[in-house]
Amino acid sequence: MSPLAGRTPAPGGAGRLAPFTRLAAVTLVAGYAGLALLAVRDAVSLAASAAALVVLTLAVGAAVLPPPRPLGRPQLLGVAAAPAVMALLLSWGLPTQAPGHTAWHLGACTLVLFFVAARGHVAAAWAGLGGLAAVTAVWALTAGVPASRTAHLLVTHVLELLVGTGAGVAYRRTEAATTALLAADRQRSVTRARAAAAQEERERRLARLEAQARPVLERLAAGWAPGPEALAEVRAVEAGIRDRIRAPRLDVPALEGAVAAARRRGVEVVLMDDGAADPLPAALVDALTRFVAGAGDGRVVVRLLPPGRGAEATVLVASSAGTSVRALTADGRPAPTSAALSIVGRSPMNRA
Amino acid sequence: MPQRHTSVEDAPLGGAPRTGAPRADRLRVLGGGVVGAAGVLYGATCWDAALAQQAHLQPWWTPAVAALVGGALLALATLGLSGRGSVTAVRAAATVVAVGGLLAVVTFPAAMTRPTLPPGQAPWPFNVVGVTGVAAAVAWPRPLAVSHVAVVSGAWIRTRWLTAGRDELVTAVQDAVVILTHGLVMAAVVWMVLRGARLRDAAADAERTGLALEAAEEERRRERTRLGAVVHDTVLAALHTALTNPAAAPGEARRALAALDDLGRHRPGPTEVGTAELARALRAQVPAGVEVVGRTEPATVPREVARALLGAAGEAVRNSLRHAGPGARCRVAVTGGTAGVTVTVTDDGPGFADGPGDRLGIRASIVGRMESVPGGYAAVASAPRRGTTVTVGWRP
Repeated sequence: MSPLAGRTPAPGGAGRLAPFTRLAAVTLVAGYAGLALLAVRDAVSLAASAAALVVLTLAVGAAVLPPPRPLGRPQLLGVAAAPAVMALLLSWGLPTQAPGHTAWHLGACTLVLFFVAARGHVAAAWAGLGGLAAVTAVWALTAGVPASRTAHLLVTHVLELLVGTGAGVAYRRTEAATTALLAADRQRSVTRARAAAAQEERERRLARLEAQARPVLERLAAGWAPGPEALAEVRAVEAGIRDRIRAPRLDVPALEGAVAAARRRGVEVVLMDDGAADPLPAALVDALTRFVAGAGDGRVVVRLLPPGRGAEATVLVASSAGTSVRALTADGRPAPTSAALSIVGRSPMNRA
Repeated sequence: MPQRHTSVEDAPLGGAPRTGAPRADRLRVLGGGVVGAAGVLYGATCWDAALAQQAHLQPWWTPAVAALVGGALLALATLGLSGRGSVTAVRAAATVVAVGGLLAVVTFPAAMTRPTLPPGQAPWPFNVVGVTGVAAAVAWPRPLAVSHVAVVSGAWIRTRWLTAGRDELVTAVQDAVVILTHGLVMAAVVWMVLRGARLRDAAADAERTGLALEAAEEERRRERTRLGAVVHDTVLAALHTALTNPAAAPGEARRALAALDDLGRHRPGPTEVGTAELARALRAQVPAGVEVVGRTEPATVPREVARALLGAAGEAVRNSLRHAGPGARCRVAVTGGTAGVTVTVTDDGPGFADGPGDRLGIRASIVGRMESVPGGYAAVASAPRRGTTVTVGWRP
């Protein structure tokens, strides 16, 4: 309903709701087939009963079994006509005194029409009940059944369809209200997530700056003239801050330590991030850390690549032992040669 | 799937995932209401039979059953259809209906003061019995509800057979088939509704969490960029100066320290946004050709409110440009101060006759968004050929 109403299907819903639609359909047909058989005992024609059961089965197939979507026009026409057809087949075999359960088609049709109304096809459902009532009234007139008895025969079915119609309307209103509520809730949650993320990011980065840069800045502001060793430390602080601006995803403690150590050894390390926003896989960070830690002199350029390059990162190592460029995949392994070559060809660092 | 490194990107989120099933709960409550209303209606149809059979029953029995089952049905209808009932209350009322219906069927023969009912008459609760099975489907787990329908059907055969003087077994069986069929079909309907609702609840939950994650990530990037720009221009500049031009370093370092102090003072928390900044942001997001006028006095609004106002006003402008037609004029007016902020988006387009209730864009993106922040409000006024005015605002 979305199964009921047929307007707002559940995600992957038709399949997961199928057991219930099948249960409803099978129970409906089987239950009324049993009643039809018992009605034959009361002199209702077997052929007419069988034909009416076929019509009922088709109507159930059209109105109950379909997935939660609006019914097509042919289906609706067929379902709306089915009650009148069944009444035409069965009415003139009914006992006129107290039809009772021999008029099983009244209850069966109303249940089918309940589904039609609940799916949102209110006009078709009431047209179906109108046809059923009209044929029943004609039979009652021709058979001399008092109007009060005919009305009594039909009243519970009218009520049942009224309930189906009301249920469908109430369902759709509740769905709409819930959807609006959830949309507002989603908005609130996005707003909270944004605020929390911004605050967390700012506080974390400011805390690092306070710890690393403020002491140096305060001494510089007081007129401190750093000696050669202190200048190296200032250079390291400056490089670390630059790394975090250029390559925030490489702001990982293990790699940061390796970079700082390499710089202390005199290696020039450049970190660049041209990639997407996804967090880096641990294996890739580990591989990059190994490259930086293994550099003894010269220059190391670590670059995270834009998406679609066949590799996640390149590492250029230019040392006294020679120059090499390695392209790495997300799991930290060497990328296929062709990818590596094409990356090397486009790399501005390579040109540099 | 490679393992993700625990680093800057895995910081906790502010928007914790929602738990619970709002749609399924609401529909269970509504289902209870429908069952209650149907039971009351069906109960009305058997009132004459109840009165007629009163002479065949202990005098207390019919009033007791009517009070128990009828009262529970009324309570169920009221709780469910008013939208005020909790799931627990609805389940409790539905339980009383289900148990009361079963008791009525089982105790009917024992309550009789004469051996049989008049020929052809069914015990009067017949029309209500089917509803009790659906009430069980609303209140209980599936196996229990199915058992209830089966037990009531079986009990009905006995009751009908006994009250007919151990006769009319076929009629009793026919009655039971009707009770069983209607009970199971309607119970299946309830289960379909609830299963579908639970699926959509789960999807909405996943979507909400995904959106919050994306938004948080985007906000982290923005914050990094904002901070990066300031840090680059001040802190890095000072350190670089110390390395290249030591004489100028003290001045640069003082400027960098002032910037750090400033950043520390303006940490976003439940942060505030100035009304002037809000007006500037509004002006910046409005497409060219839309006139923006306004007057703001110095005051602040919570950041969450500012976002809601910008989002709702932006949606109102987009709606206007989309629906008002090419010749229409769209104008945005903003006023702000200590008494609150108001943004009015007006166009002289064709307007619309029906209210905003059925327009999802207005309902969710404007009204819903503003109602989601404490103190927020929204109003939409429109009439054919009279244009449309959308007002969104906030009062502290």
